[in-house]
Amino acid sequence: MAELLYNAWSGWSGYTDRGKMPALLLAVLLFLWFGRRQREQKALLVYTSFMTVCCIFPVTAALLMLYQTKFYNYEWIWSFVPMTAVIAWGITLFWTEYRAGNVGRWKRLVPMILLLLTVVGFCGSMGRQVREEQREQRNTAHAVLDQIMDKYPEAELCLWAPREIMEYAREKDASIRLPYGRNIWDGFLNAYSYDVYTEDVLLLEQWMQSVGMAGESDQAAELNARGADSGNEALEGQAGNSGNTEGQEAETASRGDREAQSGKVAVTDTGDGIQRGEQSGITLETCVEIARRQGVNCILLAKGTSAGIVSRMEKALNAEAEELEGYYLFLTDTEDIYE
Amino acid sequence: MITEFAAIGLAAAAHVASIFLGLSFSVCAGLLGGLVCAAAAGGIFFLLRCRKTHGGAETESKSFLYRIRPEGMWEGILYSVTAVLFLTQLLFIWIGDGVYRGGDLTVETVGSFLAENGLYQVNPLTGLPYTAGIPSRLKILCLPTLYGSLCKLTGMSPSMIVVRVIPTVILVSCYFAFGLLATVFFPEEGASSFREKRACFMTIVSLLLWVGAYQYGMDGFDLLCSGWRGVTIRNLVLIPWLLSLCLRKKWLLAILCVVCEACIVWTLYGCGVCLPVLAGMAVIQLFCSEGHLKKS
Repeated sequence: MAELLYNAWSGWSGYTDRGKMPALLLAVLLFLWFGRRQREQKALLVYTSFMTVCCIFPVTAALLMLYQTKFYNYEWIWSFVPMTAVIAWGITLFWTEYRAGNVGRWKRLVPMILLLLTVVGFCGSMGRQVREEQREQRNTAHAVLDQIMDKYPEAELCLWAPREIMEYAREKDASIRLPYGRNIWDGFLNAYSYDVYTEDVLLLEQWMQSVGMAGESDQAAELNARGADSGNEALEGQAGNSGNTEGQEAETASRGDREAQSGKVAVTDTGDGIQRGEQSGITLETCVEIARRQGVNCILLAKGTSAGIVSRMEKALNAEAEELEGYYLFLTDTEDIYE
Repeated sequence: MITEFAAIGLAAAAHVASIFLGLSFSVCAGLLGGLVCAAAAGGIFFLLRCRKTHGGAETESKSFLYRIRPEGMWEGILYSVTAVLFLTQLLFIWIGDGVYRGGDLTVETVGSFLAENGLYQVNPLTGLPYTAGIPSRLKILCLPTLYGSLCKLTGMSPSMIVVRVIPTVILVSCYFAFGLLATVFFPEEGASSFREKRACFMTIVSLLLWVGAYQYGMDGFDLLCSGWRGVTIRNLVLIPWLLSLCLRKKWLLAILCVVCEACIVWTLYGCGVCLPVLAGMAVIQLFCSEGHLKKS
């Protein structure tokens, strides 16, 4: 309950941090209650005011979150408040009454229109800003996956690749199988199934991330893989109640990445009794072995990967690396993929 | 709006039947197609009968479009602004690239239905068989089946249907739902300039949808960046419609919204948001009608 209360408290500040629609709603409610003599749709007004107060006060907000089974974040309790409808209704009443009192007086009407537009406009922003690198990442992933599918049509691929490719693989083509899904870095998705990953699978993900970050240094990749456990904090929320806002997700991911990159994290006990940090032999060869056991028959490594890692991968898989757009492609056995 | 309810209801029926009978997805989609055809035939028959009984002119005169059509200059301007904003939102959905798929696996789920020709045979995130299964409350939600059936019917890819086509349908439905609410807020009887008020209301709604696209969980964001989700349909179609029904005291139809939400949103034992809204509005209206609030 204490955690819920904290979430409710911090939820409100987060909710009003980036935009001011709730503030606009409060202003409209004040106008509807005290700015006019007439009160049409009293039931709606009472209901909206009551629910708004419930959503703002931490105790009632926590109760509403509890009602929503804690699965949904704070912002979803605002579904109880018909915000858009009531704001639009209030502004319409204000404007039409103002206009009725100032018929033909454009010097009064035009500034009011501009004022209303400014107030509404400053309460948020037009559309979601998609970062250029996100867009590029998606396009690259699609292009790489297209190339693979063109090269090996009808193949039954089980792909192990860096996060930025795995993220879009199943969206692009549902026939591609993966040893792990994007619920590893998007903890909210864990709620959609009771399945949990084995330690081996988690190691695969960590190793791949570490290789991506270590770049030219293959030694660093393996060192980082040993200490990268806590970078995947999302995993600890297997219950699925760790749904994040976009900003929080980015923050969690980047924090994990930073820690993994620095190689300073030495978490040895994740709370489930698994001693991960001291796993000896998280080498490329071990990972390939695990990957094979998971049914992986197609591996992608980023182009920045050191030549040493690439040649060891070739040796471990007994396959030659093919160059794709920004990646090296390894297929375990071309006959395997058509089985 | 009724069409949407019918589609969701039929999809829920086909989906639940397939889950419990262990039918393949092709059979499930075929079943849904059959149900839709039967419902469409029934609907056309019912409409024709109504027209014969009541006369076409009267029905037309009270149609939704008649009630919101512009007559004066101001209304014309306001509706034009609304139309421009609507078109920009449509463009944003189709070419804006602002899709937000965090915490959502609808595209993967639909894709896995089609690829495996079965419902929840594999984990949508990996394509591997489930090891421990999924929550049964989640399993009976019908939107993936509806979207998957549309993919099968049209031949479009899951991401095209889920990320582009469905949000477009939801955008249009959202405007209809708010349009209906406008007719309730500003009724014809007794009020002057009701048409202008309705036009103004719609303009502000469309502006607010744009402005509210700044953050996850806001109406505008849900509509423009993740319009296929059950929560979006609930918040932007069901709840405005539910409010208009509550204000008109059409309680039986309002219950439909509650059932519909239970079919599309993962809620606590089916008690989502529509039920408390309905209960809240009913209780407050009861108090209002008994005069408890008349003095305020």
